[in-house]
Amino acid sequence: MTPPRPASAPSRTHFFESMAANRELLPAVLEVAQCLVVVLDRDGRIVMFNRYCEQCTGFSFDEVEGRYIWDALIRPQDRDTAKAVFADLASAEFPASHETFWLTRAGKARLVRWNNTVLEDVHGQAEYVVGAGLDITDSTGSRIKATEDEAKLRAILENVVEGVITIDTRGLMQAVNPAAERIFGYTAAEMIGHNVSMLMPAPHDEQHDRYIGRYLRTGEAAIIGIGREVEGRRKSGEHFPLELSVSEVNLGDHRLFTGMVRDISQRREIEESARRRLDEVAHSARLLELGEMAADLAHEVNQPLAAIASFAEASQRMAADTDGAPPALARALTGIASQAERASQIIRQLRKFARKDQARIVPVDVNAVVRGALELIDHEIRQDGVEVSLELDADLPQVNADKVQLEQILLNLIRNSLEAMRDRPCEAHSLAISSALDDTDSLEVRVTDSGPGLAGDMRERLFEMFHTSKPNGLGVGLAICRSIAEAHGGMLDVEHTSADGTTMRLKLPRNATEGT
Amino acid sequence: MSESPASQPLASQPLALQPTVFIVDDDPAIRESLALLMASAGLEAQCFESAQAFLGEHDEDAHGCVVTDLKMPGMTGLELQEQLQARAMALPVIVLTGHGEVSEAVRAMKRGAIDFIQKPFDPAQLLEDIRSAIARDATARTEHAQVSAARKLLSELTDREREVMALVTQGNANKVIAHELDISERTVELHRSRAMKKTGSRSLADLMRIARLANATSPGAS
Repeated sequence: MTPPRPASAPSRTHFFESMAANRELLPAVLEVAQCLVVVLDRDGRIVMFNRYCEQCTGFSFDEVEGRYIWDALIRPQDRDTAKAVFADLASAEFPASHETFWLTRAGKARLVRWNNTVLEDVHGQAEYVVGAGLDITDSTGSRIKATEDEAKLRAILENVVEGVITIDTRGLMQAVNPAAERIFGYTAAEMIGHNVSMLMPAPHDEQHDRYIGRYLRTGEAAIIGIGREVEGRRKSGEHFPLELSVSEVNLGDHRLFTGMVRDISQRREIEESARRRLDEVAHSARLLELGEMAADLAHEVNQPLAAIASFAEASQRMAADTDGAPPALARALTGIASQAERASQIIRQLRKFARKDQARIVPVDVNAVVRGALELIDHEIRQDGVEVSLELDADLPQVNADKVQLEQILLNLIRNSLEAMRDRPCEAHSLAISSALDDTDSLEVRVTDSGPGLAGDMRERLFEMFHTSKPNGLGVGLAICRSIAEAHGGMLDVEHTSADGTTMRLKLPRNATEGT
Repeated sequence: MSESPASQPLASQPLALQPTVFIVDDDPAIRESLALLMASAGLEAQCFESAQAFLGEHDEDAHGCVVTDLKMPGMTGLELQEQLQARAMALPVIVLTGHGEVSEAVRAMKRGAIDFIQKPFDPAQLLEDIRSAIARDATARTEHAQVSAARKLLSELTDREREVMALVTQGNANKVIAHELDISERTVELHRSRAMKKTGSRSLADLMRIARLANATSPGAS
């Protein structure tokens, strides 16, 4: 650390004398300059301090005149550095420009960018240092912030799962993030500078420039600010569904479009398979209904047919026992009997559609059927905000059953529960499904809801064939469910119902043939 | 030697009443047409619109058979058959079934006196089945009556007479029986002839038949 040199301090007057030519002009210029102008002697003492300096620091020239700059204005932590600069003033190059903090009277730090000139005496010795400074505190702050923001932004862009692609008004890609590279299979280098249409299948690839042109011309946005599902094309040529949202960025007269791209091919596949599954279930429900109707129709028609056949047989016998009965009467009665038989044949044909003839009996894990059914209507359960609790006996033996039909029963029970609870919109809803082996060695599945319960005659009529309140049916009615349960040697009933909810019970006999 | 009045039931048929076909069906057209069919075939018939109505009026001595439907409101045909079977003298039951109920029918069939006829049925075939059910019922009732009679006869014997009779019917000689029971041969002879007399048996074969009937495990089961 070099102590300031005390001797032969150049005076302010001396400075102006040496500037004789500009004697009048210079101070005036300095005073009005909209920048900080400070002149130091070679030891670092202030000899000149313009009005802008006064305004910026809050100190008057008189207060700082003759003081070492580091004592007067430099932040304590920077003082040694400043002193060192002046110590080396003779030997080393004084920095032509640098940035340093000044402390104001109020104790605030201002960042100043300096441009410096060293004035030498006739011997080539440094005599004065002239600094012209700009207060860049505010712009620096925003610059630092901008840098930080940029880093954050970049980190986000690098890590988001969405592809982010920025194009200019010509459709040329300006920037892409790693996700975009992953999604499309191109490297950034393969994309940047190329037309974004390379990522689109026909016909959009050819049309895209026109799309941009139309937007620029009319301002009518087809996709900007809207977002929609479109098709993309990977490097491999594979087409895939993606969700695209585009926003416009205006940087002065520089317009950019940023597209956020999300690969939804997997989600689509899941949706597709769920839809297919629902279709299958709806289809099997329709088949079951058809079968049930056929069986029902057969049953209904059988009754009068049996009566007709019996009446005819009785009449034929009575006619045969009656003396003098007209022969035509016997023929007529025979005709009735044979036509009744013909109708019976038709009924037998119709039965081929009956559900029971189409059952495919295999060993079935009832718990898996419960879970499958829940999965199928998962979206409804979530939509309704219903809490589902499962208590499934893991040691449940398999039952020989038609899996599709069992699924229909469970779907129906769960659906009914959901609908019942919808009648109580304001309350917390819970759906509990349990499975267990009961003491008579039957499997029992219980579906309990927190709905309003079944009013008197509802409980009775629940299982009637055409008694339904449901306009849109995925699944079959409870009447069919019960008849399915019975066809499996089991039963379906309302175990409990009160104002707090309803428990439906499905019982299925355990199989004697079941293996361990 | 006077004839024992107790021997009467064994000799004659106990079925003085006409057999009746009990038609239990909720469908009036079925009831009416079947009733007419029975009449045309010379069979007595009675109609009931439900199983409960039938059981409510049912006379234990009624005989013949029941024709009913598998599916009826209230009590099904199968439940009716169960109820009847729980009674001392079950009537044979013919159940009319719809399609697809066969597996249920098979399960029920294992339980006993029951026939299934799938709808739509041939009335002539139904008549045949009804006749054979009535015949089965008659046989069962005869057997049942004989068993009851045999048991009633045996109940009139003293303990010692029954003991002797059991050993006799097992084919033991008087000497062996005397030794077995530690009584004299003469006493055995006495008990034996009393047992013969009380049961109206004229021969050892008669006595053995009564013993066998009395030991029949389930009277009335067909």
